[in-house]
Amino acid sequence: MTRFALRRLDIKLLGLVVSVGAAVGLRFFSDFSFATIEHQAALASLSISRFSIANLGSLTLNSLGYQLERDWFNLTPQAPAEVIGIIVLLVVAYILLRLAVSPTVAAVIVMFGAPFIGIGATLSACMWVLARAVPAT
Amino acid sequence: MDWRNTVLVTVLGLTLGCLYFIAIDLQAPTYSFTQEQNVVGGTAGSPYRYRVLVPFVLEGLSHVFSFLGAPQTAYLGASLVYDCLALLFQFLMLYALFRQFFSPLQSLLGVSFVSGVTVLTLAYFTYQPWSILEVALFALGFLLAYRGQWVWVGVTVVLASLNRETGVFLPLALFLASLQDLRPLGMTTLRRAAHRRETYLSFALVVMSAVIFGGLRLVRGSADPVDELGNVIVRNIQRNNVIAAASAIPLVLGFGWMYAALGFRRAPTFLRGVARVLPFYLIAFAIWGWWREVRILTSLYPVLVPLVLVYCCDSSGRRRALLTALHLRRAPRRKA
Repeated sequence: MTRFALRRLDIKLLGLVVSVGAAVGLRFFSDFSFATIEHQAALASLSISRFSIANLGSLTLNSLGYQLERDWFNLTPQAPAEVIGIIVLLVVAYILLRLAVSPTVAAVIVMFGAPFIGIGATLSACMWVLARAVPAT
Repeated sequence: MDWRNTVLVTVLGLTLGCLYFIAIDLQAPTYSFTQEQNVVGGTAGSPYRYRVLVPFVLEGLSHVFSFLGAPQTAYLGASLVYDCLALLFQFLMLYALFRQFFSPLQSLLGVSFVSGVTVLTLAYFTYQPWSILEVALFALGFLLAYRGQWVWVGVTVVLASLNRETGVFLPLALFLASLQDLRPLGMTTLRRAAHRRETYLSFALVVMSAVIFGGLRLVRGSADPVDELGNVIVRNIQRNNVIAAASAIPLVLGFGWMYAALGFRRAPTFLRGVARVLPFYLIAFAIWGWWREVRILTSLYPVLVPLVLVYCCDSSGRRRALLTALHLRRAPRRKA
């Protein structure tokens, strides 16, 4: 009886995790690629020719602004895979955490971290774009 | 006070505040500044001219940030501080409201869920800073009413009415919640209901909110609407907007919509009562709102998310009740 109740509780919370995953995924990853970051930087006339904290900051702000502002339901070809990937990532994280902690704690940790995944992914992608940029001669 | 959870809620509030600033204020800083100046100067169109609370707060904050340079730069600095503080206030108030009915962990679950789905609402608008505060004021109003602190509820209703015309939904929700049982519907039942303290106080607050609504129009003068109702309706039923709204509205709470509906019947009386405001708010949203702009639905967080938590946390609650019942049954036996 208790086990059945726990399973139901797991599924309910899993529903919340999926909902948050979809929201975060669609908001941050409806048009997310290195090419988009570079393109948006070019449109904003940002320098991405060398790695510096100032360049990383401005590039990340510019990319986040674009991702958060755009029509998220107008998905680019790579977006469905990325959005589904985020949802799967959160679900797997929830299931793994569930092995160690209670369902509610697992759901709290996953949903708490969800917005930071979008920020972290954008920051990492911007670092990569700057790191591989050829220094201007 | 749950300090650890308060710190976590603070982190979420400040993070979402920064995201809001990047998504909204940093996108069109000149437009936002002009809008704010128009409201403060009394030249904005209707209804923005009458949403006075936040623009005047931002104006005051801009003076504090005047050391940053030009007025627009100072305004941008003020916006960043406002966005962060307002979202922090919103999340703290939601947490405090949830704590009236749920454990600290369950309340944190509710706030984490809200922070996750709020990310989706940061789109399709430029200058709407009052929406952040509205959620906080609704949550605060419900919390104070639940605790019976009606003087402070009155203050909250005044602030909500000065903030946005939809502030009237706060006292309306409390009024509807105070009408516990009107069956059998008749004069005696209605008279009995009217004599309840919560009923006449909340009704007085509805009237007060309506007076503020009218007073603002009287003091600040009549203004042409920013959007004619006909235009709003035509825009809403355009194919692109219908598709966007049909995707955004379900996604803004996700499974939460279903959970809230399922949790309604099992919810505490107060939560069931304030949920009666939902049809009224949704009808207003359907008529005057831009459907894809789901930011407008965030005002329903204090009503809907507790119902979501009721459904989600029901199993553990039932288990605890079962354990308590078993314990109570065993206790007399031990004594005997």
